[in-house]
Amino acid sequence: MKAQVVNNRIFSFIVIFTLAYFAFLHGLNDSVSRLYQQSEVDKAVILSGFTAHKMAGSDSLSLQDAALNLKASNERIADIKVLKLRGAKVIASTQDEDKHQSFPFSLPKDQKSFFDEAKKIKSAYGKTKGGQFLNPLVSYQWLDTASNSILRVVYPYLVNDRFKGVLQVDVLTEPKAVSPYYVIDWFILLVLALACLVFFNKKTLSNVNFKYISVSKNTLNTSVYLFLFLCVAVLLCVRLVHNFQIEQSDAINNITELLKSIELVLANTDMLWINRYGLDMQRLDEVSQPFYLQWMASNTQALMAKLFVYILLSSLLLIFFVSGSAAKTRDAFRENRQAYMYVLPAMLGMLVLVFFPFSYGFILSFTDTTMFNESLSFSERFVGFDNYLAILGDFNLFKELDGQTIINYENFYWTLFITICWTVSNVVFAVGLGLLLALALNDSRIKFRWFFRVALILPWAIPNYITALVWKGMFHQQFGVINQVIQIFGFEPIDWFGSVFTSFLTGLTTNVWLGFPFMMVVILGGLQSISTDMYEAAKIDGANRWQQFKYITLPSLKPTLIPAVILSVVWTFNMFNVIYLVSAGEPAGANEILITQAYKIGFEKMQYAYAAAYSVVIFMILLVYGVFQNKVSKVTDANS
Amino acid sequence: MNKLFETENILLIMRYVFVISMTILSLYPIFWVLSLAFSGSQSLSITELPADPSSWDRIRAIIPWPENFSIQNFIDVLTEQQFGRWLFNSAVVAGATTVFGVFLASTSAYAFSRFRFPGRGVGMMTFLVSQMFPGTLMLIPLYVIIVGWLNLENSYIGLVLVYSVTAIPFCVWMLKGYFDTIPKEIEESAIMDGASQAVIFWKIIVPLAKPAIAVTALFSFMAGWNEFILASIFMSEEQLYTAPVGLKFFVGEHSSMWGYFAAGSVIVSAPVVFLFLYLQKYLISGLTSGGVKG
Repeated sequence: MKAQVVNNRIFSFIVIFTLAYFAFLHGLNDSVSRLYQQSEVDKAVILSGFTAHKMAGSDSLSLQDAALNLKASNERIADIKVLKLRGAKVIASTQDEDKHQSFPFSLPKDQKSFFDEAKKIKSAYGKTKGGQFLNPLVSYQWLDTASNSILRVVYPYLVNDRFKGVLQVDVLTEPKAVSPYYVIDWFILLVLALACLVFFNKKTLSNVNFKYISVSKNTLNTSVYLFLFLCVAVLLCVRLVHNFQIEQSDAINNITELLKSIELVLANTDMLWINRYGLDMQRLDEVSQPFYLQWMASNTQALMAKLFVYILLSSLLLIFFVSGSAAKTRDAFRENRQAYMYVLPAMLGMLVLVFFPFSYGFILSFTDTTMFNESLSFSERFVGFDNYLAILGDFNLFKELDGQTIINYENFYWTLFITICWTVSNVVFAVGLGLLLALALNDSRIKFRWFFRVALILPWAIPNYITALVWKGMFHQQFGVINQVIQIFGFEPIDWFGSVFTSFLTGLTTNVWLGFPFMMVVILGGLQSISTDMYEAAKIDGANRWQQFKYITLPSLKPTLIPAVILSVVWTFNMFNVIYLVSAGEPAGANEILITQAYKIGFEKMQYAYAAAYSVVIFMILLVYGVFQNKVSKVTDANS
Repeated sequence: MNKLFETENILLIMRYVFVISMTILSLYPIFWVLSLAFSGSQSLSITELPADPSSWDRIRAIIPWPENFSIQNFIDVLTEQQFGRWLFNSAVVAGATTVFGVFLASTSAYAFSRFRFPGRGVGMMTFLVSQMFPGTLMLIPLYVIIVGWLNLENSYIGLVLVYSVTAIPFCVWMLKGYFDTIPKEIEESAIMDGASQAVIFWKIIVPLAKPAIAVTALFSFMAGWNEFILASIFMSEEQLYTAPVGLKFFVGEHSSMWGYFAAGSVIVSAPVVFLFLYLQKYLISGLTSGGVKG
């Protein structure tokens, strides 16, 4: 048994270690290939810039020959194509498909993207500031073919410093060879795993006597495994970082070689053309290799941070496994396998589509993400509690506008106030109406009760967004039915969405119309379960109608009414559709409730992070309400 | 004569007056939509008011009966507009949501009702708490997952996944309440007869819980049939709009085709209203019998 347990732990140790190491390797590979790709891009851009320079020197007649010559003279140039912007004419091309064309010819329709690219570059060429181009004039994209990957670079084509068109050079890049280091590392790992299995096999373990150290056995095991794991992990990390640096210097050598080879050419030509094409001079300058060193340093740092996180996570996992928590979890799972199997599909779905998005949004709320800085890294966007401070710490309820002091409707506390008014008034009216109707309908002398019941339930059955749009139509100032009724009595039509109070009323009316049937039905169900004996006994005791209602009906309704009220508070608090579709928060956002305000911030102002923080605040309010409500109902349950 | 003014009778009359007036109020918007739908025009008002309307004109304008009875709006909305296509999309999405959602909810509700396992309490609690997650917090992450990672933009599957999963907590609580009322003895005797757990679930529990499952199905169906925000975000192609997105499109910022909207609303609402009325008594019992009790 003991040996079995320990063996299991060793097995899990190996599994975790393999996983962690795989993660290390992946991180390394990722960084190296990014660096490699960057150096390939630089090389290709320099090469094609050089080509562009050469081409610009030849006159229009010999352009095609020059292109063919350049292609033949450099094996890395796959194809050259020159496009004159005026008239969208191809004036030179080495592509196979254009072999039989006579130059110039119109650009085929299916290559319109090339023309668009050319226009983009032209507009970039027009924008300069202090002799420097504001936008890079070079664009590139990877073309993946079956055998090799090609970088397509598009350059401005200038004749006598005048923008004529663009030049497209397809540069062959060298695919990255698989490094032998990885193979060696995998081999080491395999040997390690085998060694573990051999050393800690069943027989060896059964001979170990744990009798006298049984108290600290778990701790001992844990620390021994942890130590072992950390030793190997640190050793391997050092090796990895070392390998990474080798790879990086390889990449730098790679580009330095190319730079040297074109150095001669550069020495003989005007260096300015490169500057004009918007290339970073520093990259070309062999002396200023610091650019690459810097690049490397930042990459190494990122890699180290990654490794640290991996080690931390896998150590935690290791502790989880060797301390026995994992075994407990597994035993629990084995014992209740069936139960977990039944829960699994729903839990999986909830994890991916409910809990994960929630956590993502929660983390988002600590950044300053908007539509415009989405691509920045997380650490650059992180702002801590700034959003929460901006929301909760803003007490400027009033603001000055044209010399008048008016309420700042965008303030959180104003919106919270409106939300609370909205929730309370809705629930009060819905419960009140529902209660009155239920009491009336419970009278068995009323004829056609089934008809009234069905008619009064209908508002609940209709999709609420339709209801909301219908009421919006009925509240229309000019054509709406409600203003027609007002005019029958000789009053002026009301601009319902023009003032805060009337606009609030439109939402309230709509939502009460939507909400009272639910309350009515719930209360009706509760009323029918009250035994008539109680009323008869009360009558004998001389209780009047009000006393009967207060001492029999209301207490008996409590168990059904309280959950319904709790539910409807949460529903109303987050009732997005009605506010969004009926009044849309008019006038000037005064009638926004918290949830619609969050939507407005997120999807109209595109301040994603601020909206996320707003939503978290909403969630917190509801959570506090839920906990409070739970406590209260427990206390009342205990009392009754 | 004297009898009529007894307290009991006055109360009864007051009740009648109250109930009838409330019924009129609750039915009025419905008739209003119907009269717009059958008016054959796109106008928001029931009748064209003359320049200087008399009281009678105004009264006529609020009576929900169209001036000219025509089914032209229904014909147009289904043929000229893409509404038929949108209805089809909605039906596919809501149908698949129902099947998938009921499956997910019934299996886990059964486990929560019948088994005692570590994590049960926490699981039920998190389901309840997840009901309080504000939708605005979930929109961006959901977009990232569905469109960015799973590449399910403009696909029915993305919507079905999101709808059925977000409906789970409510459905589980409702179904669990019902499963709790099914006596355990039935399963115990089935086990004695040698039935496996799967047989017990599919052949005994599911048929016994039919009413509750019907309600869960209705709820899942409505979740898919009525939702419009996620649908408008995930479905960017007009071809793939769902009916709610389409209806909002009719009376959105740039158009006011109230006739089409009304006719579309009638078509969209009819199935849910009938399903709802048919299943309502189960819905009430589901809601009150522990479905919402923490």
